[in-house]
Amino acid sequence: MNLYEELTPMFKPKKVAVIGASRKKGKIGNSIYITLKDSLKKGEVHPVNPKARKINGDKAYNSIKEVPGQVDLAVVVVPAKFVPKVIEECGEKGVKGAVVVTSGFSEVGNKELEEELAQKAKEGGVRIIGPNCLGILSNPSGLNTMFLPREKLGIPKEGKVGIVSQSGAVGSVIVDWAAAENYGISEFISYGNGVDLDERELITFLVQDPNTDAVCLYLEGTSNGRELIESLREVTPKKPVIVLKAGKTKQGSQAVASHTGSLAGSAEVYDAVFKQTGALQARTLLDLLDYAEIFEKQPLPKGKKVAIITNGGGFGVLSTDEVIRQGLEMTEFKQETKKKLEKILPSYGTVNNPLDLLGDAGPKRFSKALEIIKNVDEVDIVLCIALFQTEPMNEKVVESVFKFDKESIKPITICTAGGEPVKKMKKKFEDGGIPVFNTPQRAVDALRAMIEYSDYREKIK
Amino acid sequence: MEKMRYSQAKDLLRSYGINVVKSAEVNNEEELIERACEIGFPVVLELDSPQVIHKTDEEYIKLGLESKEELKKAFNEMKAKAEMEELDVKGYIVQKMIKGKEVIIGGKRDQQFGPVILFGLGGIFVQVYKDTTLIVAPIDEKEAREMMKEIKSYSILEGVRGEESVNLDALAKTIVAVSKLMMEHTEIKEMDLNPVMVNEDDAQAVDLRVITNMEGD
Repeated sequence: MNLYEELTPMFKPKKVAVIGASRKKGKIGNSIYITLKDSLKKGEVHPVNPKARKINGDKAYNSIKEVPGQVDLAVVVVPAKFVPKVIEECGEKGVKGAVVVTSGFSEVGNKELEEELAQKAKEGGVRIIGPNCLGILSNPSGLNTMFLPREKLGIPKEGKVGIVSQSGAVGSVIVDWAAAENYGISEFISYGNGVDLDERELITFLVQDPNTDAVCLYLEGTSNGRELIESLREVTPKKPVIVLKAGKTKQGSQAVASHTGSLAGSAEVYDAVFKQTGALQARTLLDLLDYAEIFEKQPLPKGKKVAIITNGGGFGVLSTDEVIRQGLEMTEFKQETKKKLEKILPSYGTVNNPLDLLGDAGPKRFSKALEIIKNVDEVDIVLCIALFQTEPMNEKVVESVFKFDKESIKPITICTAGGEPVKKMKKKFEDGGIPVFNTPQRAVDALRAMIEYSDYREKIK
Repeated sequence: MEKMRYSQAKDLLRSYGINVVKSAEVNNEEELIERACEIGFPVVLELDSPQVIHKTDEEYIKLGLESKEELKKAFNEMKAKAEMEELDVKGYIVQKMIKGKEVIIGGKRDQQFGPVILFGLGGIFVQVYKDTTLIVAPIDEKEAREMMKEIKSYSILEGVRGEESVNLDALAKTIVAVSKLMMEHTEIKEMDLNPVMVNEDDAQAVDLRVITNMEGD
């Protein structure tokens, strides 16, 4: 049984118990129960609380042991001191896994209690996510263990990006942001102190998950560096893993007595580790989602030669600057391609890369240009700049990009910018599997990440 | 933290097949001149003292001494300075002055990831340009070659304007040897081979610094 199979009952549970479910509005135990009950598509949710008879109209049980039948997942929100006992009971009941939301463990110096929890989990064979975490948001099953009020947190649409976050706060911002940016996710896991399942196992789980195509990891630190290296080496050849490592500023306190000592600070070593293991580094939260978006939606490029198609000359130049700055190359169109392209431009246009379709270009010109470029050898990647502020531009452009996407093996990405009307276009593109960025810098950076990853895959072959 | 004696560090490196420049440890002027003549001029003179970490900064290294007279003068000045500063003097090191390009090869035991290896442009500019790259040990020669290509100054090593390339194989072998040494000698906390002088023929460590953990460190 691989990790994916082992953990599947936790992510797609048939029966969930919320231990510490509460009747009182505003309490975590109440909001978790209600959210879970509402969100889980298939499966039962039962409250466990010895002091209540009914919660939200459902029968409350005195203990997990009284819940009838097999329980796949327990969500634990009782006070910290009761958690080891509750996990012990989960073990006796045969519960497969638990999300321990409760805080008050090693993060506040309470290491002994955390060790006791780990011990009980191990003895009882209960896999743990947490403690001190938000737990799981699983789009395929609908499972949502997050206690954040739903009106304050956007839930992203279902997609193929899996997210693992050590921090709950950063994690919830990523989720909210993904929802706002119209990015789709498969699973989100906030693992907190990671007493049992930690970043290594969770990224492995996501790489094995058929619903996930790219994995994002927000990491503050790791307890076993060498094992992290091994896990990354194992998973990155299969699916891209994008890491945002926090705490990268130099540790000033550590005494060093050599040049190497001062040049190999913690941040530099993490950089080396990610480079060596093929994990892609994001510098910002936005990068993390941008990279994931492009990996989720587009195939890997065969090379790094970019063709830029634009209806705005300035944007074409800005994009060219980015392409060069970020180490990609601009395609030199072959003579035969040039001839074909000349035919679609008005007499006052010239064929270059960036290919300026001119300000009076509409969907037809875009469609013809894409049709020509679709199969030419000298192009590996297409960056299509579609500015919708001009009169002839409309949503028919979206259709020609979809057609290209369907018929070509080359990755294509859109750069478009503007206000409300453009947002509608952006959504159309994205819902059809085309990544959209609002600046050339973001678009090219995401393409660069793709090339870095495909180079790594090539290197380790 | 403790700095390993030069002679001990040199023997350790040589046992891993790392070239260390021809040198001798001496205690007085007479011995110095005799050994310098055996090694051949030009030479470099250095003070051997556990209290001196950055020899260049503290003027405890003199380069390019062309003759007996120059060497004698440098020796007497250095001796006087060390006496004035009441340093614990273990002796003096005289070594062959080597021509070539300066690189740094180093090792460090990282708290999270264990031994990591550093390579980069060396010499006194290492802290200024910081043109260095890191890799987690252990590594093989192929990885060492790729690592070398990551620094901006790589083209300088390959030779610019018709210049001949330095011996890149010898460099890669030295990097791998440092990796092996860091893996096997867990008492070593940090080490610098800086500079390693590399030319068309080979790569030789010219200055060494090996820092070990003290008991209970």
